[in-house]
Amino acid sequence: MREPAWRRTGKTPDYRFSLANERTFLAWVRTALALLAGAIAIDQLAPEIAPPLIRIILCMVLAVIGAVLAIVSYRRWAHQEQAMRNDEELPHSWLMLGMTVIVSLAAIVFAILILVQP
Amino acid sequence: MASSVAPVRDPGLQPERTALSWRRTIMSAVVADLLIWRGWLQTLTGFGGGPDTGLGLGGALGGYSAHVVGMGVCAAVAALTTIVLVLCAAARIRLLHSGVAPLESEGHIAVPALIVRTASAAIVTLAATTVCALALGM
Repeated sequence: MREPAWRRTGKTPDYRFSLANERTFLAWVRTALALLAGAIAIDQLAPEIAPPLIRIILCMVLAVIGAVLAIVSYRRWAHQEQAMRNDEELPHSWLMLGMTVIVSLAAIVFAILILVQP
Repeated sequence: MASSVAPVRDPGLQPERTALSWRRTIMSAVVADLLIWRGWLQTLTGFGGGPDTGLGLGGALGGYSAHVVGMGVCAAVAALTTIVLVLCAAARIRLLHSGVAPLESEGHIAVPALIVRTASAAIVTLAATTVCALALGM
């Protein structure tokens, strides 16, 4: 498969920056994997945390966020490298704020579920 | 005294850090995998409410409930995504460890877009498998 067209534009960034960009991508991928593992772990190891339907919906929401995060992390990696190639400012991303809000919300929801657990 | 010799290691250990990052990612994927496999084993041992077929190998596929077969497919797909991820990481780590010569020509050290895309696609597939496994557990 050919490299995408934007990889032939601008200049090749310093390898330290492209490798740092790659590691950032991998860190987001691990976050996505942690969401997936968390979803399955809650479903299997804490079946009493909520009524079955609510539990499965919450776990599915976590898994879907994991899938979206995997796609967003690829797009982020590509946009960062495009910016580096064209000597532009690195693009602003709502990803960090978004994931902070999502993880906080998940923590609050599951904390409440644990507290109200019979 | 060795000033005429090019440094053999990158001072920031960039390739090593990146290779370790790939390894950590594989470990995270294996954790998610193990949980899906655990769910499948539980259905096999009758915990999931299906018929108590045990781990015996005698029964034909028809002897198992759709639930057990479905979870088996989920476990197999999860294993497949991890194998794909390991192959991506292996290709990448081999390149990163291939010495400083590729570092000199910076164009060759950047990750190929194909590897990044394949890794992302593997995670999306694993997420879809997770959703299926959760739905089967209902």
